[in-house]
Amino acid sequence: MRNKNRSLRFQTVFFILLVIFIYSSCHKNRPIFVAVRESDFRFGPILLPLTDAAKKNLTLFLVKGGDHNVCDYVDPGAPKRYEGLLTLLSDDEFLNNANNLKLDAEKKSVKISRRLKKWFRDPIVYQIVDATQKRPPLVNPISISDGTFWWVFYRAEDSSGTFRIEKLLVTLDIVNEVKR
Amino acid sequence: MHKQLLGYLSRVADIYLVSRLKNQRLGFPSKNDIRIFFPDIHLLSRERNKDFKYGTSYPDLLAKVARELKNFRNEMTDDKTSSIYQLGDFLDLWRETPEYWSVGGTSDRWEASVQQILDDNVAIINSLRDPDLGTKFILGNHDYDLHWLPSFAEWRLRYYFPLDQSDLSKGASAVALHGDIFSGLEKKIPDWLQYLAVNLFGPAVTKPKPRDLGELRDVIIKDHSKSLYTDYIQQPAPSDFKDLFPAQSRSLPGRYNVSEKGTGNEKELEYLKEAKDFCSGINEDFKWNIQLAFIGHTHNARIAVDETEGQFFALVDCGAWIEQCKGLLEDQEKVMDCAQIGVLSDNDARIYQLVPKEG
Repeated sequence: MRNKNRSLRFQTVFFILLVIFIYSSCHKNRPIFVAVRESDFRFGPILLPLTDAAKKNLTLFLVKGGDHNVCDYVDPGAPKRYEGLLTLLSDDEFLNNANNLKLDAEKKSVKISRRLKKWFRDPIVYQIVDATQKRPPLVNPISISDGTFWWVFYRAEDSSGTFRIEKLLVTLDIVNEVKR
Repeated sequence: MHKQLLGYLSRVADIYLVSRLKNQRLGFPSKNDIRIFFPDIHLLSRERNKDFKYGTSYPDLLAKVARELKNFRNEMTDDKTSSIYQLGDFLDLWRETPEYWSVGGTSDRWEASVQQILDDNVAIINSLRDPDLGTKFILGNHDYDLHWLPSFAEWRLRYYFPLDQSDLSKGASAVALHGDIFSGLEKKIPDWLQYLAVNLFGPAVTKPKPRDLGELRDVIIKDHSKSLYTDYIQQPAPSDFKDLFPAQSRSLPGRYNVSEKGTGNEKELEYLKEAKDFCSGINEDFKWNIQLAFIGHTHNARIAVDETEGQFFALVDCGAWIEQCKGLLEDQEKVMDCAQIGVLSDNDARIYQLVPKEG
């Protein structure tokens, strides 16, 4: 009986430790802010919806791997990969409500919307450090990452009190922690 | 533009032709665009340099060449363009920080070690990283970890040369990359990681994403194995170029010292098949026609050509700026420190060996 209790206790402790281990492994550190990079490594801010010319220039920036200084192709797959996203960013209906970037705001957790899952990953970051500006923004943009770039969606409040997506800035990501 | 470039370089060095291939099938016909390639340089800190037989060749000359290239670019007419590339292994993080020798280990002093290399090689860093030179840097297997650092944001895995910069649909004609992926490295990458790299992040892996491709670093470390690189890095003996032709000679042969599949030896044809297969894959994915690749990595400057199966392909290995080579100079065999660059313009690919001017 005593052995059975000991075994059960051991299994319980092991299970708890396993859950903690799995949780901490899966729970990645969330960036607190997005840094807007130097001018060679950022595109925009540009007004939305995207015009044909803006789409072309943004595509070229992405193909160049996010470096205006490059004349070669670094990511030749970019046009096909981002085509759907750029089409979405040309659509007034999508842009008219900034909540389209994220899941239903009534829910507690804030995640990117299903329509954007194809290109982006969680989390959504609201804090931005942009040394090109005089002061922090009054209306925080919504920034989401595709793994290489942060896409910063600037919002503007309209007369009905909702926020529409007004401008876009795309900036190369900065890694701020070397893998140990 | 080849002639003009030689004029600038000859101010600081004697220049010898190692290899040349002039052929319209190279797919780079522009007479007004020139590409210049620095191969492996392997910079170390002053202190660490003492522990190895080979350090960067002719450091003063390297800085001078970069400055002359800047003059060349600045004094070019408006209808001409140029691009400079460094083909990887610019810094030698592997030899600099012993902690790399343990798989998966990184030093807490790692960033300080990187900075020490930069601080001890200011002239070379300032000249090659001069914004006016606009050098495009490629990640090599000895400095792969630079991709972690924000100040090295412009380092990439490879560059494709577009046929028309403003029209993506026209495709690309050539590619520049380090070349380590041809060493069987990709065979050591597990299938699931290859799938991840190739299919989820674009048909060609271009910039490693630390969170997802950190494992690639471990593969590179394993590929280094227990190599200490004390006595040599890639070439246990000096590369043999046989005749070295003065580059400014009036009667420069259009095809010089080019190895061909079917007749060349194994060493001269190294990676030719792998590079051709790699580019065939890219061509299939994007409907391109890349028939030319520039690499470093082997420290063995050469041009190799495969014209079999009805598909022309040329591999230009731009050699190195470290270790040694030998060749006949004015009928005398001479051993020199490797100081090679590659050049491409007007469907004319060349590799030069530079020697500091005496006095």
